Amino acid sequence: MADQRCPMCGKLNPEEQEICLFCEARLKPLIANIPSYPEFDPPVEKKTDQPADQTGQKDMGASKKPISSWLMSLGNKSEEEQDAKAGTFGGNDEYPASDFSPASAVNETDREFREWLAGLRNQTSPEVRPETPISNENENTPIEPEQEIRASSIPEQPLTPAQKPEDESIPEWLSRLGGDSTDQGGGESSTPVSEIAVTEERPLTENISNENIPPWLQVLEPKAEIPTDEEEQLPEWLSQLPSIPAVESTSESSSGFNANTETNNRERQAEAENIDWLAQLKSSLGEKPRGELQDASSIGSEGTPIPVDETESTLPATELPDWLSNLHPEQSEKTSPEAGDQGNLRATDLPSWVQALRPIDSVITYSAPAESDERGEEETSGPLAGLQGVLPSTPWVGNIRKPQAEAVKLQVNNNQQRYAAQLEKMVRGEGQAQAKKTQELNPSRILRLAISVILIAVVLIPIVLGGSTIPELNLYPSEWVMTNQTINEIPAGAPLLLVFDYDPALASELEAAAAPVIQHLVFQGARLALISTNPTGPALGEQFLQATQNAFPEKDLIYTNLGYLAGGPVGITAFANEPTEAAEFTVRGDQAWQTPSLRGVSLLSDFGAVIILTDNADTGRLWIEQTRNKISDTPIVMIISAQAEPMIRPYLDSGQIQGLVTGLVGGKVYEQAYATPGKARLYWDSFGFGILAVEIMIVVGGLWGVIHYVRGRTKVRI
Amino acid sequence: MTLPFSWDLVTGLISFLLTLMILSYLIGDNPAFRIAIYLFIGVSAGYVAAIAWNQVLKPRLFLPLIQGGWTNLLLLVPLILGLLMFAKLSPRLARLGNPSLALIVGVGAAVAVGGAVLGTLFPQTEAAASRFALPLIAEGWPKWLGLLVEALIMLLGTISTLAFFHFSAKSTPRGPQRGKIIDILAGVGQVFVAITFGVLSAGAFAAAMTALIERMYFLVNFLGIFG
Repeated sequence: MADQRCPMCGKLNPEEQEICLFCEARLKPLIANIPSYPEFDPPVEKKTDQPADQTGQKDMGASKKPISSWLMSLGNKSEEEQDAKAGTFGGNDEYPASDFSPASAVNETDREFREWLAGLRNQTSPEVRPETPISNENENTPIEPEQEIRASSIPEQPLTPAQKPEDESIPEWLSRLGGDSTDQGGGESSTPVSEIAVTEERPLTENISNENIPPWLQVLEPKAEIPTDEEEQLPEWLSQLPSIPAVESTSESSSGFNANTETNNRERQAEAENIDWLAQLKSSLGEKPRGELQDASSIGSEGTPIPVDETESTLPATELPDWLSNLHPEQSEKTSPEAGDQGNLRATDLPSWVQALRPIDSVITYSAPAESDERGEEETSGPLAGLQGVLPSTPWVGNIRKPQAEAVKLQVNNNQQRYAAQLEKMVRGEGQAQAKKTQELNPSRILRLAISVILIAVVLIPIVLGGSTIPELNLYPSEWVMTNQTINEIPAGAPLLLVFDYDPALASELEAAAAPVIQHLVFQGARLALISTNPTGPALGEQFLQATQNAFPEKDLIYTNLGYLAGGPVGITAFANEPTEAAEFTVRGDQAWQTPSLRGVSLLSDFGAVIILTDNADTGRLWIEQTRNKISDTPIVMIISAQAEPMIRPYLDSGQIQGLVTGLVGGKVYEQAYATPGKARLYWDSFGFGILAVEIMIVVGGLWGVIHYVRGRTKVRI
Repeated sequence: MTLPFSWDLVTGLISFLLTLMILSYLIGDNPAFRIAIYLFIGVSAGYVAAIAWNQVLKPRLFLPLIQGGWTNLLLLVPLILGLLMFAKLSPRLARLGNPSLALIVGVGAAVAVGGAVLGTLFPQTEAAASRFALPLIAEGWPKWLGLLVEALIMLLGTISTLAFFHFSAKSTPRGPQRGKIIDILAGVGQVFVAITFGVLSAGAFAAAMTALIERMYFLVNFLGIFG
């Protein structure tokens, strides 16, 4: 039982095996999409090639080179495959175009070639001698490599008598193809390229005759001699062969079977290129001894001959695939020691498509590559044999180790480590419960507490101890004279409008400042009318007047509380224009302008004076702005808080108001002037001590700030 | 010692406690202070609402509208405008309150601007200019000189303060800069502004001091009742 050789490891396997027992590589190729290489496509028009082939036939016929054993092995094909082959190359009579896709072209070409060889075999020999190697006319040609090819490539296909060539002009070598091919193991070839190459050439089912035999085949004759190195020359048949490299052999066949016009064009172009490089190869090899290697990159280029095995059978240049043209037992043996790095697997053992996968160096170049050691170990098996620095193709061979776990060290600097530690701390802290921070006394809080204690103490001591420590005022404010004069000029019993526009927070100050003034007016018999633009104003006014009444019970205090005046500035304007309409009712709901306090009053100018009590400068300004033009000669007296004085005093200086009493000091002055002690006198000592304490603290704090600033500047300079 | 019951005692006690609760802010924010503050805000809001209803809406809008004749139907206009103001509470209906708000803002702005121009700007400008209406030197040159210096200082303060708030500047390679004269006057005006702010701060402190004195006085007097 014929064995088949594994293309990967090169070991023999049973014929029926599809997968290698040793390396588990696939022995029988699968149908795959083979890329087409136009430059290597076989020629489409055989007619055009015929003259060349014919020419080549003449030359090739004269050479009489012995047929290679590999070629012998190409003939074994089944009859079914031969029958199935309807045509081979597209575009001509011998090789009509077919619709084979690239995926199926491999098998198709393989089949055809087998059929063709089988046909040749039948024509030459009716019996198939499977085990008998094809005797080569060229005795010098080593047979073993070819025998290997035969064993792994073409199955036995005995030729029918119908397939026998009719014409006796068939070369003798060709007639011997049949017997050897039958010696080969059955089954499909393990070298699909060879099968493809076989199918490329011609289906064996065709009647072989002079008319049917392709021109290139007609001129194929076994070599008479195996040329030596010195005598090696490019055979004539080879020089006429088109360059059909092994890489593209499958593609050639696939494209050859493709009826696509684009493929045909590519074939024509490839043909022209192949002829060129073959001619160049011929000339170069004719000058150079056999075995001289050429640069792999020069393949296909003009003027670069390619060494060719002279012992190879002459095949037409148009059909001979590249692997077929390069396959030469002598050359492969001789190139191996010269190349040195070609690997154990010889080129002849590899199918063309595998060889095509190689870099050009490994196929053509036989010179030992320089610096081979530096490029790593040379692959010795598999399709990558001869290559260096490749990954091992047989991982199952040898020790399969678990890759070493390498420690990954992250290059970080100190700052990054610090940041990482900080981030980790922050993240860890998020999940931890943090104790509630106890309030600690900070310096600002201590200072504030100290100031508060001092002030409270300063205020409390005079209150608790009693007496009067702070002396009376010797200097009266400048507005006191004007105010006193204005109040004295108010007619007795005249209606007075009191505006209570201050907040309850500063009621103590305003009451202390207004009490002597109101008492003065009450003693004059004035009629009072209360109004306010503040909702709390009427209540404050009511309380103030009740307190005054209580202080002077002998006096009947006549007043009318007009209540709350809504609208803000608009309400003031409305009241200034039409007071009876703006404040029609009292807080009790009575008709306000019918009360005794407002009898005979209908306009704002009917009032004897307008006394405005306010702690807000804006409120006082509004009353002045809105009522000044409505009251021609009616004086306006303002009793204000100390904080509003800077904004209201210009109105006094401009003459828009006629009296001004400011805060506790104004009330004290009034009380002192009229010798009517009141709240101002009660608060005067505490007020004096408090102001003195604050002044001392301001001075001390300012000095401390200056010293601290100077010391800071000194440190900076140092 | 038994004290007679009186509401003044009750109100005094409440005032005493509330005063202490407010003064507790010296040691920091605490619940007592917050209670007093919230109580004050609530009572103020309630009192204002009561005043607004009793003294404005009821006697001046609803009662005339209900009890009055057809002449009082015009009061529907302020009623509708007031109700439209509530539309401002809803983002979708906020546009409905725009007419009422426009009326309030427009009238208020007109009154304020008119009053400011006629009541403050013109009179104050006239007053500043009249400072230079000096008496005759024959009445006494010291007095005349004093008045002149006072007028000049007032004029300088007025102009320099206005220059201090002048922010127009020219673009220069070193950045926007004011003119040199303006810069000098602004520097002088800065002094006047600082003095004004100091006076304002002193007045505020004096007012607060008076309030503190009054409260301390109250506390002492209240405790004196029991002592």
